[in-house]
Amino acid sequence: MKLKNIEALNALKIQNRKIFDTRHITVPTTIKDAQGLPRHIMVCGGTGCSSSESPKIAESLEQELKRRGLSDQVKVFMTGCFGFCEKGPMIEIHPDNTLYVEVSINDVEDIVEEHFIQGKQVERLLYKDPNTEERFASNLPFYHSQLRIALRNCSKIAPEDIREYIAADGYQALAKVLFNMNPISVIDELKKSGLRGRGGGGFPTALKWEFTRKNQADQRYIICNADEGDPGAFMDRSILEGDPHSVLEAMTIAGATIGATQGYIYIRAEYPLAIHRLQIAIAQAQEYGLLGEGILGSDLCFDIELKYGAGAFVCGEETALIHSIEGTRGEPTVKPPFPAQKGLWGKPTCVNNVETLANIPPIILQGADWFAGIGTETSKGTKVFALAGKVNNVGLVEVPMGTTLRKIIFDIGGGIKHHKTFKAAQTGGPSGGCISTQYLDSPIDYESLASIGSMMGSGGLIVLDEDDCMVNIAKFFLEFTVEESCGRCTPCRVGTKRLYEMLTKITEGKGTLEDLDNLEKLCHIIKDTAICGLGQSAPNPILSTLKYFREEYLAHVVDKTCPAGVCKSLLKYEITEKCVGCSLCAKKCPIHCITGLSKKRHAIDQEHCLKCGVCMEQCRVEGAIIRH
Amino acid sequence: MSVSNLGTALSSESVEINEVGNIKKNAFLHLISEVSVDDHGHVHAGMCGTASPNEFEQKLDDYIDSLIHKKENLIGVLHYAQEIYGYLPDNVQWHIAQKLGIPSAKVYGVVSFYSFFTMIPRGEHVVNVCTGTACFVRGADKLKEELEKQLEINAGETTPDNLFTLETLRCVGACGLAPVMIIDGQVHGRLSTAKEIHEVLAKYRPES
Repeated sequence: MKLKNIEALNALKIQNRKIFDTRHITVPTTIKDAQGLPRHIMVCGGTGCSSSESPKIAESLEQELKRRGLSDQVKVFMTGCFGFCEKGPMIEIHPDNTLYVEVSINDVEDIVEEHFIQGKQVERLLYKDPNTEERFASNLPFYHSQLRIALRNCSKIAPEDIREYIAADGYQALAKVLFNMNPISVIDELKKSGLRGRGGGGFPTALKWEFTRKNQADQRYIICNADEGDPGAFMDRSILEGDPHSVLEAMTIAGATIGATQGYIYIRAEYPLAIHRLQIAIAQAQEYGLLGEGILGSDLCFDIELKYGAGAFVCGEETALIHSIEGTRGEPTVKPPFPAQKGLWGKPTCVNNVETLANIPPIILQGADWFAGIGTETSKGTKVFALAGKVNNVGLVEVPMGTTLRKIIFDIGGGIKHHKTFKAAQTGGPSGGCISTQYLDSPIDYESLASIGSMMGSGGLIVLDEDDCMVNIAKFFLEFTVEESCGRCTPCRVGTKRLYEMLTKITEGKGTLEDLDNLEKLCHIIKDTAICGLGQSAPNPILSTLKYFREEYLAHVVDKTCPAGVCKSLLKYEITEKCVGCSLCAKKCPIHCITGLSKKRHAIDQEHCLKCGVCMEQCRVEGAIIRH
Repeated sequence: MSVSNLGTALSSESVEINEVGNIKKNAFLHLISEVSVDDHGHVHAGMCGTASPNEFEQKLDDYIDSLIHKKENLIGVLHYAQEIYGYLPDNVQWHIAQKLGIPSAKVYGVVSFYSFFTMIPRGEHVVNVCTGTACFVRGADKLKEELEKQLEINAGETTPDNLFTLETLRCVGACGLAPVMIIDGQVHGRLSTAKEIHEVLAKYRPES
């Protein structure tokens, strides 16, 4: 059923708008008042919650509601990521806006009986603040400082139903672009908004579109880079799973602006749910005439095709990505020429990140001034971060640019798990650096992060605590880079391997001060000479940790110890005078290297000790076995 | 890792692998008319110039024929082929090269570049341990060690009964459940004890 013009689009929007009568009530409704009204249950269907059986929970809810005769009044919808992954599976009940966390299939009966039949909240399923012990049914502290623009529809709409997207003002921005704007005015609006690439580069989006448009050719392309390869990053995945049409609409707007009739979404194969949602979204958009020929009755012909990655991190780099779409090895090529000049099949090509694109429709609809009013002088709008690691509230957060790291980690993130001490936050994945305690109050924006030796990156934010060894973390990133290097240029192919070898040597207690010098020198050489961003930024984790945690490197090299107690070769387990001679450790030792007489202090044979730590785990006398 | 949403997933019954890692003729191979294993352990399955059709090859050919642009869709074709065959032996690569009109060396170059593609048959169930940063700091190393212990193989290997292949991959974006392992595309997270791991693996073992 093709939408032939704007009027048809608007009619469909009005027709479906009533879902938001239930979901976006302006006057807060109590659970009591909601009793007779139509109810919606939004069930989180992001990858995290789906893996914790949320689709089965949704199914079970439907069955139980039917059994209790409530299925006409209460409807269940699978939606996108709520963001609070730590507390999943999550469901939200409207219009009383009640959020239940850590829901399991076993809770379904209670939810239907207590919440819907008796009209009272299921207390035990409400979020409990670990510090204050207060229970929250809505407006959880996790969401207080967040501003969801890219994630605006995630958890609010069913991503597999285009009508819900249309009801939420979907494709209105495209209509505005097609009938009330022209390519110049669209680019001007984006320039005023200050939108910069969210994939990590931070390049002004308007300029990229402008350059692509200016290059004369019979065909241009718009590519969405959905090869979110940074380990620990899941922002793009959540947008694609929760609001795929926002990306399709933005790409169509890009097509209209730069003069492209074909778009591609390059998505990594490790995201089957996102692929599935995109396939449905594209098919629906084509069915409704929002992709294809004469969109909404205009002259625009534009279509989108999915292309799959195959497990190569380097294909997140735009030239490598383009080669992968062309069906070859994903080896980057030197820039210039930039893709805007000569990209896919030699034509001008614009490559944009998922999150960047998700910001386009709201900017067009609400205006550049609105967007530019959020954030800092140089970094406008919001940024989505995937907060993970040793933090209490692991999940997806979207905050205005300029928010401090302290707020994100200790406020939204709920602080460090198990009351440990914060050590560093790693941003930018394997291309990024560490932010130590001294910079916790730095505003997060492109320039200030770069000035302290880190980078915004795509949004992965890994929190590290006192039990993490920074040398080992640097080694971890280099192990990744060595594996993912495409092999084309010597500085990266050989250089990163040498860096990894040196780091391994250091973590095994065989490093020297000369190694530290060589490590630093080689880092700078690789930065200067590698062909692409992967190689050029591979040394960043090392340089950053050397700068802020040099004392840890020195401890490994000079003192031959690992202060965090991670690098096994540098650990030493010792039995102290507190030992009561019970021999429990000797019995548990896997290679029997502990000896001693009954009721006398035992001893570990250091030469053969595996440093496995089993003795210390088993010992029942505090302080009898120590590790240093 | 098998991604069941890409192309049509044809489940294959278990394949026996003898000591030298060659494939023995087995249940699913009855669909292929001629099977032989040469000295290098390569499976020759009714292709390479013979006219005998078989279901797998037909499915693959139908898919390739349906594509408007063939050469550029090499990666999509390889995904589809791997879904059908479970892996990409050199004769399948050769066949694809013929159909797409490109050198087989180029196909090999692509297969060897991308970590998703394998030339070695995998077990019935592929267990992938995520070693991304978030999982790493939450104990992915220990999870991998425990799996190696329980399956009695190292990462990269397949159990002698061909039930499980153990591999590592970087980040499926389920960091809220760290540390995670993915079995046949299904994410299993928040694994902290040996017992929990054992219970998950038990779901994939045939009932005795």
